[in-house]
Amino acid sequence: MKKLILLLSLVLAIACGDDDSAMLDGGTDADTADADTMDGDSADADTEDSDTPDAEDDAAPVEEVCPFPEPSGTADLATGSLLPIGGAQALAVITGEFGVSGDRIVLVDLDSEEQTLVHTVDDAFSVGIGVVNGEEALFPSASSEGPGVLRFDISANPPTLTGTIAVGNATLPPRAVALVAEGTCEGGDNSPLDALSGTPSVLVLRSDYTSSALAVLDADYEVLDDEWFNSGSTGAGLVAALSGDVALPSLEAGGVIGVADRLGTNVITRLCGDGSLIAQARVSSADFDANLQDYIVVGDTVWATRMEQGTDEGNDLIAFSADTLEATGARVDFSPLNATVLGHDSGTMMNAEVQTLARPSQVIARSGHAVVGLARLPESLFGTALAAGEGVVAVIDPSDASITTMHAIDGLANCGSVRAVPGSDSELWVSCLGYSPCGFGEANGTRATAGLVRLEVGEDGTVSELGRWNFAE
Amino acid sequence: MGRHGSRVSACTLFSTFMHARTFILVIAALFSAARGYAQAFGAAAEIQAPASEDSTATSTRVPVEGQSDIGRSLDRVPGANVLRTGGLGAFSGLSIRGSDTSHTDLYLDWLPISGPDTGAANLALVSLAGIDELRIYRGGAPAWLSSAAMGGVLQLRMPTRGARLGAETEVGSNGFVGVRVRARGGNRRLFVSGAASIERSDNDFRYQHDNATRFDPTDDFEARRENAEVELASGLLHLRYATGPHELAAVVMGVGRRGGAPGAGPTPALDTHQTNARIVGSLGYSFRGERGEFQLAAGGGAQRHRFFDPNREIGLYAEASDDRYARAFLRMAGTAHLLPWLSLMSVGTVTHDVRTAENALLTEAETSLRTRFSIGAEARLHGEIGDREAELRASARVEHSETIEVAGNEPESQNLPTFRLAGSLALAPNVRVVASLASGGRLPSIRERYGNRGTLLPSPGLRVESGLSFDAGVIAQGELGPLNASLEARGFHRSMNDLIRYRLTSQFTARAENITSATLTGAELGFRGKIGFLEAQASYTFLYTDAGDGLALHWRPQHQIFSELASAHSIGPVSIRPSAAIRMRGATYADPANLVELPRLTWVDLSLDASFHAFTARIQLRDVFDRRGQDFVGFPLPGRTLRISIAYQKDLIQ
Repeated sequence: MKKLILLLSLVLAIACGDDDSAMLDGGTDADTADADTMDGDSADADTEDSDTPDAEDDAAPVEEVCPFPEPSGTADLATGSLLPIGGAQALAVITGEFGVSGDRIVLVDLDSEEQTLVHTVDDAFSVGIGVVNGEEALFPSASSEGPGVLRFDISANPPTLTGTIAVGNATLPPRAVALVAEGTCEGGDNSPLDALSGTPSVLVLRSDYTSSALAVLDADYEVLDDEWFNSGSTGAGLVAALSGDVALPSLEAGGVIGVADRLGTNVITRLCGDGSLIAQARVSSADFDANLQDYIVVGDTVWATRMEQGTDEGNDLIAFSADTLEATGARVDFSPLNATVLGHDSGTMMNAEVQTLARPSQVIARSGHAVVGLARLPESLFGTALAAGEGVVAVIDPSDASITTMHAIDGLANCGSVRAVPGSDSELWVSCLGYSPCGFGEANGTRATAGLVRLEVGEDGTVSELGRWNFAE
Repeated sequence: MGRHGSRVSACTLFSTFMHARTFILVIAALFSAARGYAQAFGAAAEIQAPASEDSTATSTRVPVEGQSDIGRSLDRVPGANVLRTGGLGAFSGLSIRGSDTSHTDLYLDWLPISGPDTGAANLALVSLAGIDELRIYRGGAPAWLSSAAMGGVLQLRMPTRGARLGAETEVGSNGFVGVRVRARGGNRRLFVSGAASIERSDNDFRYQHDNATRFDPTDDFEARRENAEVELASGLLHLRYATGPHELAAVVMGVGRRGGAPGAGPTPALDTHQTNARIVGSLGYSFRGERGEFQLAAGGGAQRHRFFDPNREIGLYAEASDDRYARAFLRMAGTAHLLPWLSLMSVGTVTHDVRTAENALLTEAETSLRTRFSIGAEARLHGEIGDREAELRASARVEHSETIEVAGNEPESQNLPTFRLAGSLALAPNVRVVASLASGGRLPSIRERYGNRGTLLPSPGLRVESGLSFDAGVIAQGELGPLNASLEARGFHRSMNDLIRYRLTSQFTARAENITSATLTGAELGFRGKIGFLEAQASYTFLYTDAGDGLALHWRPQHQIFSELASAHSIGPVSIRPSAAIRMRGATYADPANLVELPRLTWVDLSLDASFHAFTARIQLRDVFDRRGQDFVGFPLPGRTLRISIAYQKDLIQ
């Protein structure tokens, strides 16, 4: 009986005992990370620290960050994907509300700051990432009215819906569309997939966010294979062949079909249409979940963005050999743009200093440079302490992996999404989704920092702003 | 939380009290009326089988005294599928007849341990210490249990008689060490049983690491599971005091688990830890007379789950969460044997759950409350049709749930009505046919309904999951020449509607929705027999699922086989018992889209027991051919393992 009592005491001790101080002590390390900032050409992240309240300065009252005052702007926020179609115009997705309204695709004109409704689908969160193909814009739709790829004639003003490409189904609806550039692809001896029956031209990424399949279409939008590369293309190991969190890269080499498998997997796969593998590699070390976001191929180098920060890796733009996907050693570390930003803690309902990371997201090629959108969101993405750094776009010279320009997008936040303007080698749009320190999705704070920006990158890497729409105004 | 939380809590408690009082009055009146009716008609029924024994229920008994691995005990049950995420102490759940693991209710005798907000019952936190028998109800459970489970019920039953002492120590691969003690005994009035166990394992088993590149095997390597070490402790104390028709029973059970959380997939979590503890207890009074039974019982318990992920190895944010659950439970049940062929039973329960979620790195505690009232009634008709024994049970139950998620949400009510109609008919003295039609449901959890203000978005209007099942079968038991055997063959069909699934809305956010319906059809065969020195046991489950659009439900193998062959011999004073077991899990999909197929796997286990007087030495070689495998992608299972144990067991009264 004594033993029984002792053992039950052990159980009770576990149930009711004090917190494991050894465990909890370890958690403070992350909070003490240096808040170094970088002296960029344009962005001066140090200025954000100037807002930090100084406890010794009694004469300078600190203004409460929350609640946010209601901005005057009333335009719908472009909370979904963005697709520039040329000049000052882009198609933007206004995300609907679950069970209330569906997504809307609108034509945005930066010059006139007007939105023109182009198309509405039945369901919210159903329109994905589109692409411009000549005179057409292609948008994937997961709407219950019929999953497929919506075709819009963008030579019309406003663009008009001309039809739907039947691809995907309700189980694995289309989420993203990308083009395969013309070119010759040479893979290795390893051919894990069947050869396509035609020349790949359009890729449609289908996913239910648990598993994924890549449909391949020819130039006439005929489906060559509706799940050519899918989660079950080979047996599952620690991961499936494709996870449920997959992105199509912003720029691949001619004839190459590439896929970025993101959070939890961190693998780039490059294939040829004959089913042969060019290379497949994990782009983070064994014990680090880098959250691969996007990549471009410039010459013989793959440049990939990694959103999370580890020990001496991640939070960066990193280079790999395009043929082997072995790291070249070139890397742009964005951690100097990490900053401590004055924000708000919804747990304590007080101002709080919040550690943010640069969080590089999308990367595109413009004027011979790599252009990276930096989201600059909290280190702990879903904590109660919320703040975002000012939007920044980084221009990188890939020849020496140096930062040419850090372009600050003053007043706007959460600017990780950069999209190239078709037909131009230098123009791009930045979609700043906005970020409220007063709660996830809090309307006023989000609107106050949301907007669309049109930029041009010069040959020397300098950035000029061609237009902007602050949704707060 | 502050004053607002206190006010809501006080209001809820008052409301609970008022409901409970009404409920008690109703139950008492019912019981009184039933007794009065029985007396008025002069019924003189014999003392019958306890109401908790339901011959129409589809149940399997698994003796587990001296066992320690509940998963291995359940593997042999037709229709049961144990889904594992790793070795000792890693989460595992029980899917019954293709239902979700969250559709299985867990009971300690009549005390419910699981609930809408505890998630799927984690078998890793179910200790067999002090448990005599598992009872697995597939489909509708006996009305006496007052369960609305869609899948079934796993009931832990404690010994009620005998006098025995036992102790065991065991060592094994991957740093496993276990010590278990148990004792039971008493006299005609007082019976006491108790047990305790402590186990630990490094769980550093080998597995194949593919480096996340499934097309490129050149970078594969063999790794050892890291940060999976675990320590488990459990204890149970059970007392019964009987005098005449009256009985008092008390039980307290505690389980604790502490260890690492190795995570899933190619990136190991090296600094993530979790601690789980659960203690439950109950005190009950029962009266068993000629004309009926009555039970009044109260119970409750507390659970605490701490999870520490400071470096965001598993979650998207630094986490030191401390989730606590507390439960108060009241149960009143009565059975009246009105006529020799008619009994009426009624059972009502009140359950009050408090959940406090705290993340020390992020926010202050958030408290949510849920109060559930249930009332059910059953009519049992039994007798003979011709010279064949027959029984028919019809029951209905309704559960009312009121949920308050403290931070600014209004109380929300949901109702869950269920029914069961079941019958059995003896075709011959040892052959019986049974059939039942039953409905079940699952209330949405608070997290599914209100989200977590971060990665999980709120989902207003989330409906109750519901299901309807039908099954029929034949059970035979008896002797055929030298063969002593029991056999069961059953078929079932069930539909499940409004199944709740998380749908991702972005890379980081998800939302619970009623998005799936499914039908499941299956067949089960079970056999147990003994001929001479040979003993055999086998089960087979066939399951066909249809989730619409020609897709099958994932994680549901179409075929499952378990078979075990053992023989008993004596060499002088030593008894030896070699045995071999084969477990086959058919191919199954790992994703709703049915793209990822986990291949069929067959595991072979060998065991040798040698007994000398009260001592038994056992050598077990599990997964002889080192097939390993995984039930969930990214969660490798241990391969070949060796266990060696020495046990002492002494019956004190022959």
